[in-house]
Amino acid sequence: MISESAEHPAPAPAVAAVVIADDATKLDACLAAVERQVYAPALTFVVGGDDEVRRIAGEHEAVWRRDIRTLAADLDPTITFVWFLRDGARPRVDALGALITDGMRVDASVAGSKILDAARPEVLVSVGYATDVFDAPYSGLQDGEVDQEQYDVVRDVSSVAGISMLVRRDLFSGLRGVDPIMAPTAAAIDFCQRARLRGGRIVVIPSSEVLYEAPDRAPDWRERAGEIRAMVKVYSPVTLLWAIPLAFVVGLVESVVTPFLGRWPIFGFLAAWGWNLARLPSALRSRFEARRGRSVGDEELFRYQVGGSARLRGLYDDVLEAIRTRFPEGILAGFGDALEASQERVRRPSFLVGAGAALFAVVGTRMVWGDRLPVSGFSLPAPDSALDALNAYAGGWNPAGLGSPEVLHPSVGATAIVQLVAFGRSGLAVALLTLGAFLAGVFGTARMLRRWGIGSVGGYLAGVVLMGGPATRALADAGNWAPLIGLAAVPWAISAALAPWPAQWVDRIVRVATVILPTGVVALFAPQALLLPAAAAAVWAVAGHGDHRVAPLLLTLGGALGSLPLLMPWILYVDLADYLGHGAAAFWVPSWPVIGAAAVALMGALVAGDRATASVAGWGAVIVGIGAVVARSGEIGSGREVETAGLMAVALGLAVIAGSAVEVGFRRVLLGGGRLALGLLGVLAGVALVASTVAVATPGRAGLPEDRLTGTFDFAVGAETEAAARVLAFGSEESLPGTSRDLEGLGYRVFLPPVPQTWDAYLNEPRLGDEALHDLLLEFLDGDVRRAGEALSEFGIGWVAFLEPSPLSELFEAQLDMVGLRSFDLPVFRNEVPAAPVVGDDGSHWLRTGTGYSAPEGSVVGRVRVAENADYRWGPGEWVQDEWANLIVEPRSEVTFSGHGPRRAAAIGSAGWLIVIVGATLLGRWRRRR
Amino acid sequence: MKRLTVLAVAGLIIAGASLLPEPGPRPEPLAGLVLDRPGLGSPLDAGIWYCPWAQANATRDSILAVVSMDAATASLTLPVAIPGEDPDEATLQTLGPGAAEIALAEIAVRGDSPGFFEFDAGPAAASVTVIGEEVMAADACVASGPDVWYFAGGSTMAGETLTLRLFNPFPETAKVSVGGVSEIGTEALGELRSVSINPRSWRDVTFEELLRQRQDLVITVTTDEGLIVPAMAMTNAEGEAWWPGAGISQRWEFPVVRTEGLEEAALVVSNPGVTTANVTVDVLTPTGPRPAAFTLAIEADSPGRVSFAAITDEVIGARVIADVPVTATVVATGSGGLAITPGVPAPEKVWLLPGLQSIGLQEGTLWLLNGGEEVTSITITAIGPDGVVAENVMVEAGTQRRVTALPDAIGYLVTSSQPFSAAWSVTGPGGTAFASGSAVSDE
Repeated sequence: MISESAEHPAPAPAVAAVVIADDATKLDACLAAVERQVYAPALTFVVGGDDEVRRIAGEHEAVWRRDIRTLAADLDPTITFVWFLRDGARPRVDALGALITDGMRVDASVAGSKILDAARPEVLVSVGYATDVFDAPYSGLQDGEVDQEQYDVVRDVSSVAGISMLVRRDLFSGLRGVDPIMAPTAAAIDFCQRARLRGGRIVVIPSSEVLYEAPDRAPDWRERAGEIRAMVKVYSPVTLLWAIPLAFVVGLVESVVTPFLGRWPIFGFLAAWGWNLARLPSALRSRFEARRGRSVGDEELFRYQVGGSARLRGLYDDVLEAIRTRFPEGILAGFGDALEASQERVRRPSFLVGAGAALFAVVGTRMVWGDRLPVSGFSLPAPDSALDALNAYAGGWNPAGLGSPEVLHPSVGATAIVQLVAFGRSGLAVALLTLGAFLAGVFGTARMLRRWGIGSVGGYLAGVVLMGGPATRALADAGNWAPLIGLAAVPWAISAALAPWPAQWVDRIVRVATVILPTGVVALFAPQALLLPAAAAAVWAVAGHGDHRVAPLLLTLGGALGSLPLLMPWILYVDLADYLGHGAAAFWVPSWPVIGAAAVALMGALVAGDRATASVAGWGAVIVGIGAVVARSGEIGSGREVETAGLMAVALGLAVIAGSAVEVGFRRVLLGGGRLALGLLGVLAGVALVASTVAVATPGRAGLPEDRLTGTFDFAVGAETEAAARVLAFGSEESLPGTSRDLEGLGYRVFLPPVPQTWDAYLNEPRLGDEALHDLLLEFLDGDVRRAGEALSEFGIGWVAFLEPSPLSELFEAQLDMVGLRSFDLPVFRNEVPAAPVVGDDGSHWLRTGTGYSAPEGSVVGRVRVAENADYRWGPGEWVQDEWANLIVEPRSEVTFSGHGPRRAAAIGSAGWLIVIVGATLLGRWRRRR
Repeated sequence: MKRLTVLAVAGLIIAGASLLPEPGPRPEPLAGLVLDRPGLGSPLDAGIWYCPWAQANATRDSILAVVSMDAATASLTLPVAIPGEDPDEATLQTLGPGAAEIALAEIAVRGDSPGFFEFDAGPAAASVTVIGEEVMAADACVASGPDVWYFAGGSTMAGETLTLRLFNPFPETAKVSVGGVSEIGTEALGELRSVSINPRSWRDVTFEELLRQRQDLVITVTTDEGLIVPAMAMTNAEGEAWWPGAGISQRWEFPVVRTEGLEEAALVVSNPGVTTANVTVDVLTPTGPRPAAFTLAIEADSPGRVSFAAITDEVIGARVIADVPVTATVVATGSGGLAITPGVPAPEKVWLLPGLQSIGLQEGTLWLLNGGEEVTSITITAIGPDGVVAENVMVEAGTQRRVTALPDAIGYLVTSSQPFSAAWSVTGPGGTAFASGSAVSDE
């Protein structure tokens, strides 16, 4: 503790001043201020910075050190205190003296100064911090709050500002100094917390005044990352158990709400968590050191913390401020005024419309993020393990049907990456993607239309039509979840391509990356729509207005080209003709009200709109037309994927038409009677298109069909220690999950219960096992099979279910080893013969682990039969082909597919390319902020 | 101008989209396919033969015989009516054509043991002959059956017992409703509505207490859920008989109606329809056919009995022709025992007669009836363990022919270029039994 004896005054303690230098231009003034101190430091160090910093340090006879970690060894034992300053600090002449005097008086371990704005010395910057439980600082100061000595009392605080901080040398050494990889404020909080964990007292000494020249330069995400790291280092495991997930949720909420204020913290949020994941080992090491000598528990840390979240509290203040700014006379008065003729006032509803659009996204997807993704068609839950999914995507085993080494759909890999960020929770990943897509789609469309001067109201409403309009509803109603994610990225790709071409080459590279990134998202989740942004840009180049119409086309083409590596290895191996032709023939039939509303909205925008709105509406109309042609091209062999791409185009075009039509109502254009009437009709038709999205918002399933399969096959799932047998499901192509095979017009497929997952969606080209099963079913149709259970058990099939009534079910009723279960809504038959995909020669049923299998406890086998399509890469152990299946002789406790090396390499390359693109995009944001 | 151009282009594209032809409708699933349920549901597939009546205990045994036209393996499964208990199993091999038999006592001696044969090739057929000191009962097993099974020929007069066996060889519980009509009208059998039969088990229903003193009792079994194979057994003072259920038809042929020792023979015809059935019975005598020897009108839901005692000549065969579908069964009794078997609804060109043999004191007889209008040549192939012996016989139109079975035979294959009917009988110290032949369909 900092203390003194009243009877025998100790000699004045020696102080070493340590200036953390990032910027040489500020250092000189800082060192000069240190030199002017009445209580002169015995020694001055400068830490960090470049050669210029080192030179300036030399001029002031300060010792320069590259790294703060080496500083402790340099401090002479006679030094009692270390005074940390940042290079922007300008301490008043008595600042250090006050810290020493008052700090010693109150036995403080760490004492901080009152920080004032150097530009306006009357404005307070910091008088110490409270923190919330997530270690986010809360100053308690209003923005621009004037110092009226209202805080001038020595107070215990959670943390002091790292701008001027006096620390006892032995404490500094014991705590191994400040964490060098943390941002300044987070580092100060972290240091103070670690000091308090050892019983130290943290006080702010207002009589010690320090002017500060500039705000901390560390980006917000670095501070956020530091806060998470600080939590990990000091809290007990019990606290971490609830605090870490809660911190994630708080960040998520902040990321969802903050875009309304014009900020986009989602990337920082993700970066902060990613940064911590990468540095988890070092955080755990630091945690070990920090908690090893602790003398107090979490209760002491909680003492000076504020309730709730400091960030959400700040966000709440910002929202209120934004509302005050927009509607100075109150929300209702502002809304009323907005309806007045003044164009300036007409723009005011944008905030409310934006909020409503966001509400649409939240409400329209509430079942997905509140409960689960409805399981129907291609809307399937992600695999339980993100790592397993990534492993399967990167040259691993494709578990769909009876399995194959074919490459999985890229959406599986992309979803898995998000799942990794979402703590491996597949449901959370799907919820994030769905909600994020709806928000991104809405605001991306507004952003895109803003490039052409379409206002926010029209833009937001267009975004709502994009994500919930008639075409999107048709798209989603067919059980297409992944294309919804891709659709949301389309306007971002176009918007990025439409932005002015920058002058500097670095910015040009960044611009290309910002086009590739959303195009890549389109490609990953809907590869069939990869060229949609380019096609839209091409239409604009022909039908649009203004200069520089070719550049966006070239950029979007470049974006598509640059997205191709993201599709590896899928793009290298996919049979495009089969991919684009599979499923029901493409033939979208829009309803007449939709056609009528779109036509009237288009006419209104074309006739009554100004040049900009008319051009944009015309652009949308041509896109709708092209999309409709594509979505109805089944006669030439196009399948469901092509129809999906066509519907995505129609959705984009309809959104643009609706936005343009609504915008006409906000433009001050003098029109005659006929044009005025048509314009008004167009506005109404545009609003009608928006209103049609209620069909998506009401069920809250993001337009996806009703969940038909969740829980349906729960009966087929045994205890955790029991291996589940496959389900052979019959039904129409539409009723079956994912793709299916054809048995004389009747669809069928196998999957593992309870429900197929995204990696089960696309069945492989028929291989030996698939052909054997097909032959068995044909034999079955002939009525030649009487013990179907025995035959099906060879395929690991333990259940047969009919999702729709079929006469085929009668054949199963007549089987000698299939038991009809009559208590279900659909015909279900249980195989009396024990079945599992992998069976040991001792009869043991192996458990599914990822895409491999593991032996049940106590099972010792000499060979194991793997009822997956034969492939020599199954092992470990000697592999023998057993007709269409695999036999592993002398297996270990697990059998897995060893993987396909080149595909794995391609996937890793793809991930590397993604990192480059994301990095370049972040670089662009950083440069813009600067 | 540009707006108009864009509008025109967009309109043209959209018009083009609207003109795109709709792809043709997808074919209905399984369209054009005739789905034959294996086993009971299929009139074509005869891969599984269900034998609901077989017994082996201290006083009697059952001979389970099979005949196959191709080399085949017949797997016999005898379920045990205790849940979780493994069934008893046996396997018989046949050449092509071939026959085999096994005594039930070699597999299981636990009284009633209904079971089924699974053939891996065919056509094939199976039969059960129950033999004891005072019993001789035989009939063919069934591979297919109607939705409603009819058992005509039963009675519950004094000294008679009538037992219906409901055998469920399948792994799921079956439910059936049992009904009955007799000379006094429709019987009230409410307690036999929706009777459950456990998987791989059976249930016996006796009628001598439920429906006393009925002379012509016709029992119907309707499947509500699942599948069952019923059989009926009857005893009287003279002997014992078991017979499988039958469907309904407008034509029935009876190659065998009476044999030595069975002095009283009659046809029991039942009309399950809603209108009166006008029935004509042609009989065959050694002196020639006597068309329309009997004509009778049977009211709806009523049985009718035609006793051959009224014919002075010996009746050796009969044919029933009705204007609506009826069911018909022959019942013969006398000092030689009791024999009951349903008629043949349709003549066929190929018949299998497993179990037809003469061994020891038992004498088997093959009965052939040519109900057509032309003389026909019939090839009779006796199938024994060491090979086959074939002979051709000519059967005049509208006549019947009986052939004594060879001692070495286990079964018979009978073929002709013209449709005909076949049945068999066996006489021994325990009594006499009639058994239907198993037709092999042309399809």
